[in-house]
Amino acid sequence: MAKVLVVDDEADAREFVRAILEPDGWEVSEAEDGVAGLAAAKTQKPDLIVLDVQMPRQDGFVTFGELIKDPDTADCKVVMLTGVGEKMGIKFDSDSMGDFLGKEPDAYVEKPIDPETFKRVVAKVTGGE
Amino acid sequence: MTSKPAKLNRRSEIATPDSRGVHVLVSVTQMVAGTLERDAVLDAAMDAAAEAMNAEACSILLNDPVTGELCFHLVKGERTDGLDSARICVDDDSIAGWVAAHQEPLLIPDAYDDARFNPAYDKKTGFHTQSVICVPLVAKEKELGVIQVLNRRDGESFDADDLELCQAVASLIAVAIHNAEEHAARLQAERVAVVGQTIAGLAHCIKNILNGLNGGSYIIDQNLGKGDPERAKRGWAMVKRNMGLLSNIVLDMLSYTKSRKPALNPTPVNRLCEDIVALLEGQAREGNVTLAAQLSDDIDEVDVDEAALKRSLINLVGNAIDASKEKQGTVTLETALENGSDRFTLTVRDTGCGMPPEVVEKIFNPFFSTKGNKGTGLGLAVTKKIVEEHSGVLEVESTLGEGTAFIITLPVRQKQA
Repeated sequence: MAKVLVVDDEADAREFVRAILEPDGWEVSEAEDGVAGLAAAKTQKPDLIVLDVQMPRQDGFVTFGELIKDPDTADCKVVMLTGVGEKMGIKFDSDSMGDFLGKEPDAYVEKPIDPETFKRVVAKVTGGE
Repeated sequence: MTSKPAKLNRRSEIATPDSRGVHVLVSVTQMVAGTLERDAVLDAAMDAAAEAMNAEACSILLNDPVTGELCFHLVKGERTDGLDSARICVDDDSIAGWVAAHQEPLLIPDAYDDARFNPAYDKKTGFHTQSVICVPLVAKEKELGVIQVLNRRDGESFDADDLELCQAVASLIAVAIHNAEEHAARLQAERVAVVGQTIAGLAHCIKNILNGLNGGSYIIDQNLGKGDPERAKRGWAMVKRNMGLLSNIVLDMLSYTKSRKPALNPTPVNRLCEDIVALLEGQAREGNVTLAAQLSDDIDEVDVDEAALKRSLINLVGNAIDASKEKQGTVTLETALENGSDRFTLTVRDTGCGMPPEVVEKIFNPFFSTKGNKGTGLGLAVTKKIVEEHSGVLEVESTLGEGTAFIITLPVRQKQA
């Protein structure tokens, strides 16, 4: 069974993603923030990580940066959840995270999440697993 | 300082023209330098000028940028009815119009003798114009309008000294008008920027609430009828929770934007604090935080808006609990009478994570939140506003890693406005 790690500081948001992916056969685990998310990703080596952008202590951008640097987690597919209109100009003041981190997340999904769109994106990113 | 002998006879009762002029210029300059309240400056400057020139009446006419006409902005003297609506074309049909058109000052010893004089306004107001000084108002090469000074009180006509004084005052008045307009434009631009920021902050909060509502309703749909009723219940709880958040945002926005006079009533403040501790005890326990009250016996009833103060304290204590969860710290709500007894303090003190100086600087900004998606960012801004509406002060002391204290200082007694 494919494994997905949901990293979001809001329990409601994590539950929402779980409700969308579990019926499709995903094994869902959760983490409350970037630090815990990183640790969980290293141990669980999920196929997919759903990563929220706005989190206290360590936000999604920094966490993504760590994920791609670590050989244990660099191969995980990452879908970023963003509540802001543009992709990520907020943090890096640029259109592309790739400019700074050398790599872009596999996809962005805007909040509020539309379940059908989310499923399509996940299917595309993970090759329809 | 010497005065010309010929004038001494006429004006022996008043100070010499030169010293009069300097006195007026000094006081007008001080006014211009001292305040940006344009109309207050114009009013005082015209009073000073009229007095120095011993004039019966004076007025400031400003250019209307839309129509290109002059309209009376300020009129001093008797018999001024009907001038408010007067519009004067910038042409040769009146003294003011001529001055504005040619950008040259005029000294007219006998108005009715001058072809440019327009008697229409005299007819309207019943005033009889004798001598006139009219000078252009120009600042930074921008033509703002004209100043008119009418009828020397001693019956003589205005002279060259009067003209010079009037021109000097006009320069200062023009600067005052120009500064006030620039200031207003700057404030307006700032307001627009703040509104833009506020709307973006609001949109962000609302998007997150929508996410919660979407999530809850999706889960309910998945589990209604078939599926897991426990999950459906959780979905419904999610919807209700987010509806509550939405309601809070609206209340906070309204509190923040409305300028409210607090409804002040004598309130036993210690009892209010105990109520708040009781209200938030559960939340504290859930986070392994100790919540306690340290209430002074010296305080009994204080004049406050109970609902508003309650809202503020709930906000502060809630924040303190959130900040203390990680360290399993303590939060205390304290009351104390200030030395001298006409003010008291309410302090919310925690031994939580504290804040670095760069965060402390911004915490009262609307939509600034350190809580990621949970905070609306309005709580502290609203609390500060409530405290200030009570003529009080809200201060914060914080050390990163050690804790924070928010101190509200309020008057014990207040006059109900």
